[in-house]
Amino acid sequence: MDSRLSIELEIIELEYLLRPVRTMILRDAGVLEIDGQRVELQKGVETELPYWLAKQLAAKELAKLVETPITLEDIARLHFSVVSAKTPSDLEPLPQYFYQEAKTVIRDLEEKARRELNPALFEESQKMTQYLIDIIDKRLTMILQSLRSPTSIAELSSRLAPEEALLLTHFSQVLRAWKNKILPKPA
Amino acid sequence: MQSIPGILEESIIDAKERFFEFLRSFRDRSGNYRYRERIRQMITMGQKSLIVEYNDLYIFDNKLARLLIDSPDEVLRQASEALKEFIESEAPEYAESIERFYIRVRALPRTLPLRRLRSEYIGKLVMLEGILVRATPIKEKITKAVFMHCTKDQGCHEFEWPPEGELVGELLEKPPACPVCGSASGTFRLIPEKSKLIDWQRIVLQERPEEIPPGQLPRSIEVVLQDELVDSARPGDRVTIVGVVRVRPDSAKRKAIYDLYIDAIHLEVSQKLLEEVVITREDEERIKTLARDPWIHKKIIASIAPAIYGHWDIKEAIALALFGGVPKVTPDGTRIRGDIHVLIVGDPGTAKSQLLQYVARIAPRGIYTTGKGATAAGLTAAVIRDKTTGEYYLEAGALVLADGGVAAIDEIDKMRDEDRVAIHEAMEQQTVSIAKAGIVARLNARTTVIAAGNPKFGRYLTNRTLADNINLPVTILSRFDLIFILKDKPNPDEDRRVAHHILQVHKETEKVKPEIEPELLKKYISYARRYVRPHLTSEAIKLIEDFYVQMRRMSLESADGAIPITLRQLEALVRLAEAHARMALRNEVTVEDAEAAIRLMKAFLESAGLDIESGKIDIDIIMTGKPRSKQEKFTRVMEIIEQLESENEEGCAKLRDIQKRALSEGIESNIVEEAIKTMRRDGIIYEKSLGCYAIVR
Repeated sequence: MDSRLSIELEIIELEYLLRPVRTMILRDAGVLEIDGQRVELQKGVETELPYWLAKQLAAKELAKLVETPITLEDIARLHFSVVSAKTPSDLEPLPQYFYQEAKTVIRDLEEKARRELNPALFEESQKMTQYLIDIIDKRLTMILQSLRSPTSIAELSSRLAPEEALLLTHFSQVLRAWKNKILPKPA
Repeated sequence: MQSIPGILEESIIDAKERFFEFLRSFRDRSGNYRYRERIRQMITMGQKSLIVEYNDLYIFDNKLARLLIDSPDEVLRQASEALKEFIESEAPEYAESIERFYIRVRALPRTLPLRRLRSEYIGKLVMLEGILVRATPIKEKITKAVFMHCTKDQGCHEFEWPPEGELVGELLEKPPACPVCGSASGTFRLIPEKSKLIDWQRIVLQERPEEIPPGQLPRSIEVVLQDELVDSARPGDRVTIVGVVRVRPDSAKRKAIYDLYIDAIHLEVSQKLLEEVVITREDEERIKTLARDPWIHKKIIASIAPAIYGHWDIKEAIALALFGGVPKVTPDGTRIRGDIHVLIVGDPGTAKSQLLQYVARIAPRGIYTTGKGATAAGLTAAVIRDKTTGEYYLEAGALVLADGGVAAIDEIDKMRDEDRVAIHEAMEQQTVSIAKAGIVARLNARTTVIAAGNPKFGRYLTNRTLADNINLPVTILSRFDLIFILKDKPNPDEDRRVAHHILQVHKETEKVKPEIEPELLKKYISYARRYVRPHLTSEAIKLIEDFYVQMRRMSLESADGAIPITLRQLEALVRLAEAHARMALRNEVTVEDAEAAIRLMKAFLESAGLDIESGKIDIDIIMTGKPRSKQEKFTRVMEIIEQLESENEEGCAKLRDIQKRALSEGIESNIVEEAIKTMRRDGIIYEKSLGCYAIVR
């Protein structure tokens, strides 16, 4: 992958990890100091923490995230609307951090399925993955279709997830550069 | 989605099998067999319908779920057979007793806006949301007709029509030939008693007021409900309907033109009021931050129609009405309303209509209408007859459609006579009852009324009482918690300020910015009404109690005994205090809230309840239309008539004598004339001979 595109995707991922999330502290565990910021872990207090920290505390059973993660039902609903779209203008915006969240949820589910040896969880994660692949395929088709005209790009870009918008910009830049090379230069 | 016919047909062939598998094996998150359990429950309750979540079917088999959207008739038929087969294995006797089981699919992933319903959806399964505005009484529809065919040669024999596997559609057509003897001649007679019938009802679904684009008419569509779905919703209810889009000729003359209608397979009444205002996590944060502001009350009041100068008390009253008090239901079932009704009576050009239109914009579920009303149903409800079909419909009016929200009624004094009667019930009991043309119904109208009216004589006459000034009966006036009078009196200083403000608005329109954006304010109000239920603290109770008792004590102390406040105002005080607490998202009604309620109540009483003769506050002006001082004079006039009647040989009291004796007691002639006029109208006295009055006994 183009190194610039790869870096930009990593930035999006970082943004996802650093976003503030509402967290409920489950146990008294003193004070944490991270990057000069003090976080008091007091039982019963609901506070906003960076997502990565909230996940770490949740893994240690010190806290739990207040927001509910994306579910199979949510992805199925999105799958329905994405697959029903006939033209780029039918495409609906995805929820914020959709790709990052779906990736995390599927990974967590697979880990849990392996740990608990639960076939139902395996099946669920497989279904989620399949829906995600379908969603990506359909949306990519629309992105590629829109590359044919600048009006379609403008129409579509407001409905794209940051990862998709990045790809669209990248593709259009590559196409423009390619056309510049191929077409004769004006005298 | 484009489907290749061959593939589609092939998929339909095994729809029954897949559906059976779905019912048998689908498990929810906790691992329970959701549909096996629902079917067992269905059998126990003796129901014919199984409710299926569309998302469950989609997760189980998304191809089958998509096929259901594209070919609902065929898939639902097969699904119904699969259900019957399933029930046969669980409870064979029950399965045998029911002719047809129904699969009722709910919660499709996408709601189709009524405005976008077009021919491309014909024959497809769609989900629509809206308000049920009309409903016919329940009728019976033939699904399987029994005909008797009689010929000279073969005699008479009966047969079912249409043949096995088919049902009667929109029209019942005579069979082209007898399926028993094959003859087309002879007579075919329908036997309704032997035919199979199901319950049938037609309703009209209309776009929700908040979804109608500005300047456009609301769209509506007819929906047919059958069997268990009939009577599951009432006019005024906000419903979600899943059904198949069908067509039928719009009239007999133009056969090529068709109307769309929905054949419902599932109907759900929206239970939660105000749920249509979506509040995101970010909105919630902003709302909570706003609520922490010590000046939140002032900010909210200042955000009501900022382009309109002044009228602080009225804006505060409107703000409180938008938040509302807490409705209560006592253990014996008595309902005490939480809605605060506000009336503004004012001279022309005092921005009443502007205020009301702003209210309708920021109120969650706000409806703006005029007293005359836009439809035949007017403000409350009506039974109307459809011109084309001749059917009777029960149609909901504005107060029913705004159930759970706010109705901003302009020119309330010009409402229809039918509404004048029905609005009494709507404002206090918060229901609308109707019994006409065989339709007997009671509809919910839990609506806050913010109304405006013009004075009867063009301008508000300060030397007359409120009841004299507005063309509304006192029984309606007394149902308003707060009434404000807007008088357009010239005042150089005030006029300059108003003129300056208006000219500034014209010069720099963009500078008229509300403290809180209308969209956020709407969400704030919605959030408060949904989650905040304030309780009276003992300090607040004491303050309100003391105020009430003190005001009533004034009646004992004054010579004319005018009653300044009654229990109706006491309840209004509680509602106002609760609304004030709600404005700051507080769950407790504090002394500060009670004080604000008392201040506003005093402002109202001084504005609308002041007896111009005695100069004292008298609630009877609003409750009975006459101040206590005048009532006493009326009673005295009646006593004089009684005395003169016994003194006079003719057995009646002459007007001149009544006036003379009344004047000696300090009662002016015009009061005597008014008293006589009122008493004649009320049937207390009658004119025995010309200018001579007697008491009706």
